[in-house]
Amino acid sequence: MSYSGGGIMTPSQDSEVTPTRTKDREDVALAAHGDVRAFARLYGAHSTRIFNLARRMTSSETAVDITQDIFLRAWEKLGTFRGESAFGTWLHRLAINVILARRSTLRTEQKRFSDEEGILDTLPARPGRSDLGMDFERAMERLPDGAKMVFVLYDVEGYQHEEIGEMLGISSGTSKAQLHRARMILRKHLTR
Amino acid sequence: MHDPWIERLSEYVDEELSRSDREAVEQHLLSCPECPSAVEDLTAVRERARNLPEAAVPAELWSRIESSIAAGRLRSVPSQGPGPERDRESRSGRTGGSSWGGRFSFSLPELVAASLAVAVLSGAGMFALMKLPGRAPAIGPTVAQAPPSGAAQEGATQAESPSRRETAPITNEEPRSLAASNATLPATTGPGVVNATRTETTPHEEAIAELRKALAKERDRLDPATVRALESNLAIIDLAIDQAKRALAADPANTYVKEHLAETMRRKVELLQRATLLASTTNSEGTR
Repeated sequence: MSYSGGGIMTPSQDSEVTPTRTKDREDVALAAHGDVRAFARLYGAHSTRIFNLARRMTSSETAVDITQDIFLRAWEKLGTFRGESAFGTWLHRLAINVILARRSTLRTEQKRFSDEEGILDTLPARPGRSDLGMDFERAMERLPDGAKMVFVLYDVEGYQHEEIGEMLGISSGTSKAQLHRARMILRKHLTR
Repeated sequence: MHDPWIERLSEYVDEELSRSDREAVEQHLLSCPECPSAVEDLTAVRERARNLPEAAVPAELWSRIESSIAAGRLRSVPSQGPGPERDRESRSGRTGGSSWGGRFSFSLPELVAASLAVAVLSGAGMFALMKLPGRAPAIGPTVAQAPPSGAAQEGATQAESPSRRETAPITNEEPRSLAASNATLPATTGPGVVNATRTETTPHEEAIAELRKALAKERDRLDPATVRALESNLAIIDLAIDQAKRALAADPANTYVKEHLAETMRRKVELLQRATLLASTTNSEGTR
């Protein structure tokens, strides 16, 4: 996978310039001692990515609450950040842990959507260009749960199958199969 | 007839096949009527996934987070020594848990107070950052989603340590005027500080004075933790009012500042009204 940042950062963030990381670390140090202003800066720098991760791995309806949980958890855990990786990487992994921890609840809530990909037939395939992006994301949201997780983590977030396997407790072979399943479903929602 | 290679096409697209498998797939693609288009689609899906548009974070989210943090801070204001309240908290496990939900718990009035204070602060310093010299927004232009404003940040920091400054205690003393209240607060706006001026918010101030009087009489009926939270939040709101007045003095025609000042005063009235109502409807044991 040519663009992967080792499952850590997207390409732009993987090449994160040093001043950004340094600033993040300074803000983490301040926030860990209770400086909410510093935490607000960290939120400003990372919330879009985290919110979109939550939105894609769960649903638009639950993403706000989950993002809030993620940042509150981060606020609580800042003292455990040792600076061995970029703060964005640390936060991203924490976010995934929070999201996965809520999977069982969400899975129950979303069961009606996740049994089989037949649900995707209720969405219009190959739409006009005007709603192309929206339709694709809606189709992603309705992917079967396992396929959605792998698809988001691999194709959107850039993690490797081995890493995904560790996160989800599956083999890398299963991760590959789920990725393929997701892509084959989503191909119906492409326009050329 | 099932095509055995079609299940491997994602791996082919991702260049994760062994050399021999890759060559086999490429050979297969030369003769298969279906797989070439599948490869094209899978590649397109992958590219689409890499270039998805980012949705904007809802504007209110930071306020919610900040509210929760501020509420947690207020809840964790240390008591004056190991009194019965602290013992009660310790026994009930209300503090010190590992998760957010277990670490803090709040009474309704505490949450109301905190949310009101944060709501005030979310707009409080916006004009300060925009108008006062020597202040620049803390978040640069490269940030994708900034918190609502630098004001929220400043307010949050102030909220985090209410004990650092003198707050307006709810006592049986004559209620302080806002000017007196403001006099106890640090001049956080730095250079350019101007004297606060009277504005059209006088009716609010009168209401506040009346409510403070009423609340002072009922103070002993409130839970001590609630009183602390209330005092802290009143101090925060007073600070926001102070900042607004300073900004308005520097720029009297600024409609935003005028509206913000009026809104902040209204929120202070609302907070005092709620606290007074709470005090009048409960006894000293009953808020939790």
